[in-house]
Amino acid sequence: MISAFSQRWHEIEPLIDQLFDVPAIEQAEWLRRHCDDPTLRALVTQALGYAPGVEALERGMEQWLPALADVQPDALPTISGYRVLRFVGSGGMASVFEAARELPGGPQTVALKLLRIDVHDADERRRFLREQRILARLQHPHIAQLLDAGFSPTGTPFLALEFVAGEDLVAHCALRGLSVRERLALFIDVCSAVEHAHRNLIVHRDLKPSNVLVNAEGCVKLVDFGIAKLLTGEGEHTRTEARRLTRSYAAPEQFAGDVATTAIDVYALGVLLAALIGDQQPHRVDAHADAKASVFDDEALRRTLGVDLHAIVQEATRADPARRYPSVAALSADIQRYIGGKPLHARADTLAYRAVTFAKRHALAVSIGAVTAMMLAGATVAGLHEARLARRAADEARSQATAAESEAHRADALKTFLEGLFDSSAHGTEANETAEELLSRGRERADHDFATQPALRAEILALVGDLDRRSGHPERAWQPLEEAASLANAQFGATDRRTLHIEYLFAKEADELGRFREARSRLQGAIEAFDPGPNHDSPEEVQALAWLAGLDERIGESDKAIDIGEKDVALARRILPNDSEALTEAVLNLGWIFMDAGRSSRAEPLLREALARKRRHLGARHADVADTMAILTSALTKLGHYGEGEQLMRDALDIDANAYTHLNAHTAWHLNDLAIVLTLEGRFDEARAFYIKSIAIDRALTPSSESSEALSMANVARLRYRQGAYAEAETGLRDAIRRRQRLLGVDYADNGRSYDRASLAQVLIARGRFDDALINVEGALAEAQRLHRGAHPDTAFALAVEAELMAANGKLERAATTAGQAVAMYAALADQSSEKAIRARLLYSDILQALGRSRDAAPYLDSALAAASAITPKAAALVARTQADLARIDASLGDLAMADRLRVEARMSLADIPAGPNTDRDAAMRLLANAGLAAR
Amino acid sequence: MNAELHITEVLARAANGDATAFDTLIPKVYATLRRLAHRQRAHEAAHTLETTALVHEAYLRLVVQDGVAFADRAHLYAYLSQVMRRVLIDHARRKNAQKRQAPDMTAAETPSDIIDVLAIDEALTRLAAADERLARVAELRLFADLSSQDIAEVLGVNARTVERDWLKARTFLSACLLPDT
Repeated sequence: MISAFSQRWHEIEPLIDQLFDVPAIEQAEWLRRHCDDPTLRALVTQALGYAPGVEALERGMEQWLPALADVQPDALPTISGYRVLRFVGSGGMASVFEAARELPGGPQTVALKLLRIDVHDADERRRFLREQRILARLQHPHIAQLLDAGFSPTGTPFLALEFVAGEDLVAHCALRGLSVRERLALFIDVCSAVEHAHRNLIVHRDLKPSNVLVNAEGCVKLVDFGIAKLLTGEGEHTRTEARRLTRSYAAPEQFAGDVATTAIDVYALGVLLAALIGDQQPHRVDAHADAKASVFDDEALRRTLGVDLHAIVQEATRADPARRYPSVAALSADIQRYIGGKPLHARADTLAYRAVTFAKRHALAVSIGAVTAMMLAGATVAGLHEARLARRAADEARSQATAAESEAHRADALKTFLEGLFDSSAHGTEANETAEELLSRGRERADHDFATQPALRAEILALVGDLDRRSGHPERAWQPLEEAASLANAQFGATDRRTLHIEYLFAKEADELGRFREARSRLQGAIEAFDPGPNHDSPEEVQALAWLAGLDERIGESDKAIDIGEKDVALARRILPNDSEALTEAVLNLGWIFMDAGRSSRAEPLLREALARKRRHLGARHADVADTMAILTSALTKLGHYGEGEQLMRDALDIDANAYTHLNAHTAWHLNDLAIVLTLEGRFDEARAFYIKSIAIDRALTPSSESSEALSMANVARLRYRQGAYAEAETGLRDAIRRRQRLLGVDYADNGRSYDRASLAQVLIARGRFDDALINVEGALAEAQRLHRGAHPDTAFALAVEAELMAANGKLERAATTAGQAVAMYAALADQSSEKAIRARLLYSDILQALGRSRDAAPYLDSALAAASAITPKAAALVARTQADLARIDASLGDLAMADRLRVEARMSLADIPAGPNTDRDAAMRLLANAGLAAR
Repeated sequence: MNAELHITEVLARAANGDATAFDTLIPKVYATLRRLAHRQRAHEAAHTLETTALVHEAYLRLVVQDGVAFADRAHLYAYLSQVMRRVLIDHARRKNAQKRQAPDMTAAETPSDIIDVLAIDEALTRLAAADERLARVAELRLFADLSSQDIAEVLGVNARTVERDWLKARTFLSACLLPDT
């Protein structure tokens, strides 16, 4: 009609121009006479006859202005205890008024919300008030506080909420033209509020822009928490709720009438994020639309949000709740990773275990903050992995027609169970709002209601246990998961997918509790199912194998870890595309295992490859690239490539400076690692300055960084030992050991307690406190040997310190044997170049010389000198000392020319040592002075 | 590009063909209108809103505040109608966006006898393509609430022509508003 009309306007215009002068009653006849085109006649007749249009146009602007000014003709309601000031707005569920609450201390401005339902039934009223009390306890800086609730004289329930004067979040950002970063910061606040509510087991159910306000101070306030639930009576429950839903923000399962879970809030947050950043409005979803279809135009969304944020929105708004982010915390964490320029878990199929494994090792000097961050990341990945398992399970179920029915029955039972669990109104008690109580009730119900249905009981116990673990109570999760696993084994058989899934959950639990051996055996069982199953050679298998390898390394089974890790990389290279991030992670994982196991020369090429891959995936300046550089550096320093390591760490810090806007654990970690390299280079003053910077960051991040602070303190003490400040070194180490013991508890064993105690013993030897040293070195050696079955750097170091102590005590024969073992162990690790391996050979040759076995000692010193000389840049102090020592041997063996030449070289090397105290220089000078005396 | 942009600059840019120039004023006009409407309602709740007075006051305030002197009333009205059209469109878009987000929340709020500003806007654009003057007459009438005499002054034609133009424009626009059959 419109386009036909405007296209023929030049024909219509002359006709109507004349028609205006024709009386209305004669117009039809006039038209018939003056126009023989029936289509044209119809167009003109219709247009002239459309009275509503004409009327509206004559009314003009006044019809739009009332809307503009929000005119509300309703009379203000009367609620006792409140002075209702003005109407604010209305929606399908409620009308909102600004009111003054009359309190003894003076009036308080509140938003008074009158719900559009009348409650006359006494039980209903009690339920409403009970729910309200639960909501009133929900206190958070970003949640508009519920202050009061009650009923109007006519039975209308009302709520009094903290009054928020401001716009909704989307309008706020649009009007102020906030940057993406500013918008995300506000969004993270929204997440923190929803997360807080979820921890209190309150699901919002109706998150959308109009429920997310920003007050005058720019502070986000969520309103209407749980109000959707207040509105649902018990009988009509889900149907009512579905009808009241804001369709485009409602998750598909809400339309299906499924029970409200935290996943629906995750979904709504995803939609909100798209609206906030991409200005992408979700489609209007009508009742007939496929609720599982995406509510967005995916292409447009990707264009406006960019790949990363698009991935986050997708992950949050998946139709299948099991495939969404497992929690709001996980969604929020991914946003934070996005802000921090870190790889996203929505995008990466990273390895869950890596977080725990590589961070736990002292060799990496990883801060506890980083550990926490990575463990959280691991939880996300685990969620994804489990989701994949679940999806696969669903696929299988579909393929088996007969199984489908029982599956549906099972799903029903689980649903009913969850429903009962979350629906507090179904229970007589009011004290059911904390997660702890809810889960304990879940356990009870599993025992009572499902006592005769062991199959369901197994799944419910696993669910409850996993929820316990994820809510930060692994100690409570053990028992239900253990019971679930044994029930599942009995009910389904060891190879059933349900059993394997439960075993998998149990393995996560065991890993988290530090029961690595248990975790390993559970995981092993789950992995064996990959072989005959449809997932043989899948990315899932790559991930699971990598987790297994990491666990093996942690429990000291380095050989096994390397074996599995190598198979994993081979599998990844065979089945994954070359640009797969899972392949990169598998390579990085194996590199880390080699390094952790003391096999740096094997680690180096893998870590270099991982770094190159990371740079390709993420760009050269990505924060994750900096972390990979730090891992590569620890391998390079063991190989004597100090200069390259130093440069890498300086580059890493440069990346950090751009990638992070706030103080963070990564920068502290990288500063610490730069200081380690500088210490090795003998640049003690510079090193100390960087340790101090690192410690300053840790202190700012306390308490999450206390462990990392203690670690840097231990490193400073080691540095002071090299400078001969033994008393200070002892105090520092003891303090660090005490702190780490307090912070890590039993986990300290896996975090380098052996190394710390051996270091302390070394300082005590220098201070002449041999008894104290003996206790510590024996403890260190026993721990290292218990932890590591085969050759390991920690064991080798403890052996070397024990040899040093024996020598100091004059037990030279035993010292020689022990030092020989240490040297042999480094050789077994193919480690000739690390500082500790070089010093072990120096020690061994010194002991052999003291025994008069100069000829036996010489080859070790030759080899030590060769390795020390290969270090770049020149390790002047270590070289000078070795040269002076070797000169002494050559002199004693009668090769005076060689001895003289070495002494000249040693003196030249001495000149290259940076200023400041240095025990290696002292030792070299002492040797040279003794030689001078002997020659005289 | 910021909210502090002065009306003189806006006009200069509009004169140079910058179609978005007026948009920068929208938040300001909008806020002023709302404030006035609220004040009016608070103090004279019993009275009907005097639309024209309200709108004109809003513009005058804006103009006074920016210290702009219009060459004549005609220019002010011409300018006023265009800004108002944009204000209302902006408001309608926002409302629609809210409806999309919350269909249940706002469904009952729009009486069917109120015409959609966005539809009018689209129809006006079509009309302008067919007959520029008719469109200007309609715009001044709809969005500046001007009498035929005022419109005649602004356009430099006689009032009778304006009356006839308005009848034609009204026919064109209501044809565009016809529900599809």
